Amino acid sequence: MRTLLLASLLAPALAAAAPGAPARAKAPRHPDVAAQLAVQDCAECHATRTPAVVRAWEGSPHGTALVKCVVCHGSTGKDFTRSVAGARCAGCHAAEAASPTPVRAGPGGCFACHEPHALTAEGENPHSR
Amino acid sequence: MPLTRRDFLKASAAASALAGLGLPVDALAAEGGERWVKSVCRYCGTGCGLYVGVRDGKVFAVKGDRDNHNRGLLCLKGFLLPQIMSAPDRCLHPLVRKGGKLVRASWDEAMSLVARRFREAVEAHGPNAVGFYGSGQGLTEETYAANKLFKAGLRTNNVEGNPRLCMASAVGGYLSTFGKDEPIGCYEDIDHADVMLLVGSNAAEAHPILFERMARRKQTGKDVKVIVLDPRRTPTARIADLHLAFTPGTDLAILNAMANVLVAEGLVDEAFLKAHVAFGEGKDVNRAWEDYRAFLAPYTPVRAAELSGARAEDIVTAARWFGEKGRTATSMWCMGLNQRTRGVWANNLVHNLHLLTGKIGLPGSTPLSLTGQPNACGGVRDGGALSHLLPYGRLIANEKHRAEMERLWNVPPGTIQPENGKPTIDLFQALEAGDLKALYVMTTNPAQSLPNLDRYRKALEARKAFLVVTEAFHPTRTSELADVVLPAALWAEKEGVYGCTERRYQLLEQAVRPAGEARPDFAILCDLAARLGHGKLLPWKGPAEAWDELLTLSKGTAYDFTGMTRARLAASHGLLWPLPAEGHPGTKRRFVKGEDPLVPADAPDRIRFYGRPDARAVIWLRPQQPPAEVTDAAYPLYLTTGRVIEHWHTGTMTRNCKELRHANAESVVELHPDDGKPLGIRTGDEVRVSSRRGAETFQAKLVDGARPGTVFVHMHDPQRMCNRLTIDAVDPVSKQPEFKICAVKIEPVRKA
Repeated sequence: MRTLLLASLLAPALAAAAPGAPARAKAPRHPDVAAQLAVQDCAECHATRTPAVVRAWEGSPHGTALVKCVVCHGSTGKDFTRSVAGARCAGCHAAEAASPTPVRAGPGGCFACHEPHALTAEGENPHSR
Repeated sequence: MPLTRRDFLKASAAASALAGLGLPVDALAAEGGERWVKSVCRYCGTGCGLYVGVRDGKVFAVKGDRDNHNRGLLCLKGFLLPQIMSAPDRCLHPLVRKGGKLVRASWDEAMSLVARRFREAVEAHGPNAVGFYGSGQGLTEETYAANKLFKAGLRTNNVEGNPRLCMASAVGGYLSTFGKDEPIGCYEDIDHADVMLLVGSNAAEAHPILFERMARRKQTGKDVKVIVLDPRRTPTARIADLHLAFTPGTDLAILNAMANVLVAEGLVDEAFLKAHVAFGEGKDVNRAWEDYRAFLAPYTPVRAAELSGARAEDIVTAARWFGEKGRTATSMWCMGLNQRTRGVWANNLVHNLHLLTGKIGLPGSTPLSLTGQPNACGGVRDGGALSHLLPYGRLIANEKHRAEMERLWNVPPGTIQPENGKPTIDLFQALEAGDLKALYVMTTNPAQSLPNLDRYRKALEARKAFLVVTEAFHPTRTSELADVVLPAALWAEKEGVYGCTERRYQLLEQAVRPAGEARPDFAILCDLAARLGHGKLLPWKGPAEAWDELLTLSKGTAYDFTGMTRARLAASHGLLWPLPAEGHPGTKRRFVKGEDPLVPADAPDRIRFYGRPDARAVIWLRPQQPPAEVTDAAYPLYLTTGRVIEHWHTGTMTRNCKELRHANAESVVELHPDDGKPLGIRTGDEVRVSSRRGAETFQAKLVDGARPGTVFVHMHDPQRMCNRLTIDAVDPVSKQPEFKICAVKIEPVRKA
């Protein structure tokens, strides 16, 4: 089952790369695999596709608290968001998002300091109220 | 939908400017006609505070309330709430069945019909020919309106609700042990717990924000130990120092064995037992400490291990960690203990551990039952909207209580029927038998959530009873069978109070207007009352007026929340009862001198179990008993059912959120590879699961965390309903069904 799933993910990329293939349509940013998700969720497939990301997430507070991939990245297919705007974090982390620090105005927002999946950050904590 | 990146950067710049001026950043809310309305999550019994973001009259976002117990955090369901408001299957118009089909009707036509059919049923067959089946998701004022109308107006005690399927055994446990329902401690106890015992709870998925609090305590506390008792290794077990797995239904033996170890190793608080505890067996509080010790003697860890499949040394370790002197212990449990034919006993056994050790009424030491639904406590348990209850701890069977309610309700003496009504399963069986002629169902989906489902769907399909369903969505598996469907306002479209797990009552403020022709259930019930000639019983212009009446009803009871005026609720982020006077801060720990205003200042000790006549909590002698149905050659696997984090109950709301639908698309049957392999079943294969009662087809998923011999299916899929398999055997005291355990077989249908 998993082999089939991986094959279906690779197929669009392979087809597009074949010589003499028709002009490439805009590829989805994430294959629309909703149908397979009855038995396999994002993390289970990505454990083999992007294992470092999954490991980082699993070991993070988000992993423990089951803040799953869809919360930040949305769904699959055209609903997928690769790079998450820091504003989305404010839905749960309003206190930190509103804390009087300069991080909000900088590029990357929260992710200027926080590793996106492990969520670790270095240096002094600027979020004290 | 979240802010766009541009909006966010604009807001950030503006915020910095405002901050520079010394203005609060939330002043932004007024910009662009946006406002944030204080409310509570629609989902589980954790009761997370949140703000509903409104723009152009629509809900566009939520954000967690950082001043509430959840510190601004929300789980993925709460986070995605806005999507349910504009779901394509919102029920927008009244529907009436004509010529076998549900067709659109006016409110007046629909309500006239409902009133007429209920009136006729009562006139022809008596008050008990009608009934109300409500919900732990209804607002307190709505449930109260129904309770009053049916018990004091129509004069039937056939008022039930889905907490019967959910919390009745927890109620029975608190009542029999402490004399009063509802927890003693609060969420803050998690922050002080040295040991957390989780039994029959997958909090990681069913109470995510409480689980986060437990995980945080484990991480930040000193040498905190987490013990998880569950036949399955669920995501909850990820933070466990010790996971005890066991054959479903044998946990009574394990809990008794833990008590056995506590006694054997001198981990009991003899002074506490002497001052505050009595012993009982059956229904009588007539045993002694020696009787209890003799009762426990056979429940050695070795015997319990043989019976349950757990390891004896783990049972000993669990007991030692729990009982260690000088360390606090908090127990938490949910449906694994409640949805059992011996659910009340299972609850008693957890309380026993706390009473034996005296680990109760202290910060970090408490038996904290986790409530499943957002308002099972506030609306149904506390409000007395069950067939044997009256509001705030009063009982129908108690003549004094009935007289008191008749006075408070200003109805003639003898108005309230002296006999209990029918609990849920009996109520639906009365419908099946043709004795129940009319049923009003509010904010719940019994034609998906009842156990032994095919039986009751057949009864509903036979059209023996006139069925009214008020719902925010249509079709649901229940509304599709109705004679009348009334469009109900959903969550942010109405105002009212929810009361969650920790005795916290909080106000949900209305944020937007109801969609289509939908009306709040409170208004629908007042309308119905007027049409039935009982307008004087439900005379209120809105829920706030009904709330004032509830304050009066609570006065002088163990729930006394007289000080929780509407204004106080509106200004607060939730308040914990008892709260008997306006200035009172609320009560974190009941029965505790100095914290609980109902404990007299001159009480001799730190604790007083004033709920019981002798002020002693009861250690009940409860033996191991098997579940109603065990495995055998024909049905060799146990089925257990439950929840997953992505979905809520029957999925009517969460399946409208595309991320949640994609993350967990359908119910599958999870089984251990050791069970799948001999049957030639692999992940993705279609299989048929059957019990003595029914069958259903699912995709299979082999899961290492499953318990060999036990399979799991979640309850959230209207097309693949696990309750076609479950059993409607009930606890003899609480009448709660045993959703958690029955026997099934599995056969392959089609390979993936």
